[in-house]
Amino acid sequence: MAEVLNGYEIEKPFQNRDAGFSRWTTGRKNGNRYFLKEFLDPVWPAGTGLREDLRRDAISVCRAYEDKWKRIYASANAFSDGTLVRTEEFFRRDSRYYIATEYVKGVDITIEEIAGLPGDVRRLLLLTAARGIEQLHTAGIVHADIKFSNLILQKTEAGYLRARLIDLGAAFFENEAPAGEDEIGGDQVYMAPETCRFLFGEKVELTCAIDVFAAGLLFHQLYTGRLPGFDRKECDYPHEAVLDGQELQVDPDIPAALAAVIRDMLAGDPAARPAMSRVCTSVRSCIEDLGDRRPRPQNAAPAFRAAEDL
Amino acid sequence: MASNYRFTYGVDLVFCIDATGSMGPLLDTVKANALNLYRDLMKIMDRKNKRVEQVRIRIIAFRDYKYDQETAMMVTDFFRLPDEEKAFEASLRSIVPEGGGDDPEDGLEALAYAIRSPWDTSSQRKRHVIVVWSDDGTHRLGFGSDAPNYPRGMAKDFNELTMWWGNASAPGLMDQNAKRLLLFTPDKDDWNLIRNNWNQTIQYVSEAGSGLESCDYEQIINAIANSI
Repeated sequence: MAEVLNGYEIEKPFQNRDAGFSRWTTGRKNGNRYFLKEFLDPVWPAGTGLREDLRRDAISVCRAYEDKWKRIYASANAFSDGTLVRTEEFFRRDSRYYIATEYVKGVDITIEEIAGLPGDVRRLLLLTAARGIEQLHTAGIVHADIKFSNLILQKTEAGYLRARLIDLGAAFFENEAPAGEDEIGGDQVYMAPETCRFLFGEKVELTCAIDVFAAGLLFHQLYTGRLPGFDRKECDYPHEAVLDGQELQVDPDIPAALAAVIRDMLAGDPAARPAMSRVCTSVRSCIEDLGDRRPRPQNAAPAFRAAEDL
Repeated sequence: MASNYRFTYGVDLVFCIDATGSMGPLLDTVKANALNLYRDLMKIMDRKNKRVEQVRIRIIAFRDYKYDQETAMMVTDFFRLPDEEKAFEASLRSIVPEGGGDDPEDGLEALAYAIRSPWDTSSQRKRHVIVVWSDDGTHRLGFGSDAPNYPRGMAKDFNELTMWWGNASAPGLMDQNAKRLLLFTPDKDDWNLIRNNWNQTIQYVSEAGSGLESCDYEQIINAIANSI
């Protein structure tokens, strides 16, 4: 008989494939399918075996954790129209905490394959990705781990690709940013220059602008299949190049208006980066100027679109 | 000129390996996986365009103080890979499955040694991973304290060991952000107590006498590579 966790009928054992130090599975509840993630920190002291003062201490850590994440999930849900995948439930079972989110089946496609799709498909994809981040920022939340693997891509009925943003595991409220020695999460490839300075012990503010920088890198990758150019003999990551005084080179094949937005998003000074609401507006203008949003044949593969005027 | 903000990433791994007689069939797989780990990890990092400046591995082979006396707890220093790969390989290959006496072993003492390892503190970003392989339960801490070589300064009970591991409000002896614990251990008392009370810990239940599956190796690689 299938294991049942908080009413979710578990479909396969929890595993950590592509997840690092958390575990996930899928489950069904009330006829719907969900993605379930198990967190490994903190741990509610279940059962006996620990001294009372250690138990109390562990429980106080758990209470603070619950408070933070209930607020984050509630705020994110309140501002999400679905572009940011909603967290349906946050719960504890025995010693571990879990979240259940809508199960979203994505299209199996690589970043290089996306770069080979027609321009209008790529631009609409950027717009939906930008929308998810904007919704989170409107809620006052920094995602802190914007990268390709945190987007689920779905094909729309019109034959375009839509991005849905997932994984708030490294998120924080902008007004409760990590301080002191707290480690900021996220992927070093997409790290903002100020995050690196933070790791070097400098007193810098970590704001929504770290997501804007990461999104700038991601947008460049989605459009061209590559990160922006920088001197790879001297630096391994874009943030290192920026901190070294280099300007990240935006690919000349990107339409000028879009290239300008991406260039602004990659500014070394976080205050000089546009807000995601402005990024959305700019990408939308670019889409309108280029005459995108032509209807696509039903069930067409993403690479196909209706033939344009001759 | 290279960037002044070139942060360093250091990965320290401590392998706690049950080296008692019952581990015979399993030990060869553990050894093979441990030997492949560095190269496989670097391949994944390369694929992800990620840089790791330093990887070090330390081995702790544990048995049972009461029955095995001077071979109960064999430890190495950290080997820096790839420079010291040969010495690491020779140490790993030298582990022979023998002894152990009764069923439970002194796995908690091994874990205590692992927690007190001289972890890297100089890298800006760090991952400190302890992996335990055992096919049996553990004695209570101090079970073998009558042995002449039982260590002074050992955690006196599970509560003290829990304090050494720490949590967000009482950080313990390890870097709370860097630490991770992977247990390939049976569904038995103290291993379960750890799973139910320690943060940043994954337990994969192992069965006595059965081999280490390739999926277990994938879990280790995933746990390390995807958290860097």
